[in-house]
Amino acid sequence: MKYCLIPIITVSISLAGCGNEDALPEILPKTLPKTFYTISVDPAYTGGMIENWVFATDSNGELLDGRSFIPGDEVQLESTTEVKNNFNIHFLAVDQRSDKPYLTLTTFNEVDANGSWKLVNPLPENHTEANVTGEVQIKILNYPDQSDVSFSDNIKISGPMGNQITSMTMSGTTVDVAVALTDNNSNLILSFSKYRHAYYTEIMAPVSGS
Amino acid sequence: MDLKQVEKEFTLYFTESIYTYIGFYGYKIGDDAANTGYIISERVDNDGNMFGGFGEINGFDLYRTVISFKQDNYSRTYYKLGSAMEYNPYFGQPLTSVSKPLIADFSAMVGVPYLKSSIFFDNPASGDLEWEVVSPRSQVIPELKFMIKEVPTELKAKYPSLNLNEISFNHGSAVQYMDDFTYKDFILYRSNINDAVKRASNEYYYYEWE
Repeated sequence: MKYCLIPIITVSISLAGCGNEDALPEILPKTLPKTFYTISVDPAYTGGMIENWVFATDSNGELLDGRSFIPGDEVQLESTTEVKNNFNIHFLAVDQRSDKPYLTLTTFNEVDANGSWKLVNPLPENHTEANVTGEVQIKILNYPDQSDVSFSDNIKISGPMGNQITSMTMSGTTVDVAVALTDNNSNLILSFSKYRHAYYTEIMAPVSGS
Repeated sequence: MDLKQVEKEFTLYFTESIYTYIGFYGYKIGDDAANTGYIISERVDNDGNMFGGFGEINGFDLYRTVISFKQDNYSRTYYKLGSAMEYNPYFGQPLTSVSKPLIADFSAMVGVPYLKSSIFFDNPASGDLEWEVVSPRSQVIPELKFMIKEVPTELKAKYPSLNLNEISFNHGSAVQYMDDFTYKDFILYRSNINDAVKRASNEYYYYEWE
């Protein structure tokens, strides 16, 4: 009778072994991915028209994680391996140009792990528009003509809008210049070079006319 | 018209330049420095030997200096926004050669230290990709090939122009700030562009090469 039990016990052990193999992934410790960087996308962010992606590579160029995102998303970049500093982060914006996708990829090297990146539209620079309110005619006498530079390239009359000359003619050593006046400049600067030296003068409080 | 002699003179020598530009501008309170401003001195030189007097004028609240010169395959610019220039800027030797243009095996030589570089790549075959790699010197040159070995599979399948074996060097630029602004500060600024505590200075050297 003892000998008859041996095969039954063997079969039971085998069946028990099969069950343990099925449960193996749940029994062994599992490595869970950890967030190593966070991308916060502003709801008003305007990236690529078609789609936007962010992905990361380690210092050896191996891909760590990559996700597509839309405005308002918070993207957690994750990895099952420890991500140290100096990883690379890549932003891909896909737009439409000439009836086909156009890709703009921007890569930043040497980014520190466990940080965050806010994707927002940059605030607009303060910009004060100057409006043209009139024109003044200026006659420049005894202009020293020089062979290496034309008078039109050399003479500048500037205000907050940069060079405000609208037209210029030269007759002999006399140069007639028309200059736009704006509502927010009081003075103008006339400048030119003479034999490689800079000359200038201020034109105080110009008014429309000559 | 009473033309006033320059009050201060800076002599700049560019013995190998094929194009030189000097701009010196003044601003008043309320002016936007992004605009051209009052041109105090603005000149272009095409013979490449020597640039003479530069000029200065009192009476503005803010000054901007731009000095730029170009050689066959690169240009260099000195930029300063603030007070007037107090010294002659020194221009070192820029990056001049790219020996292995494909992004998969990129290599280049650089002759000056800089804060950050932007290397631009494209895919000449498809014409629908622009890739900017922003990096400190240590990782771009010559180890760019370690930046990325593969893009995410989904992106590669959807956009064939992301083929790393076709993407090659287009042009590059480098910025060397004149204060203690570091590459890490730059990353912090770009990742929080509207609220960054530390921002880039308004005085720097800029290099661009083809």
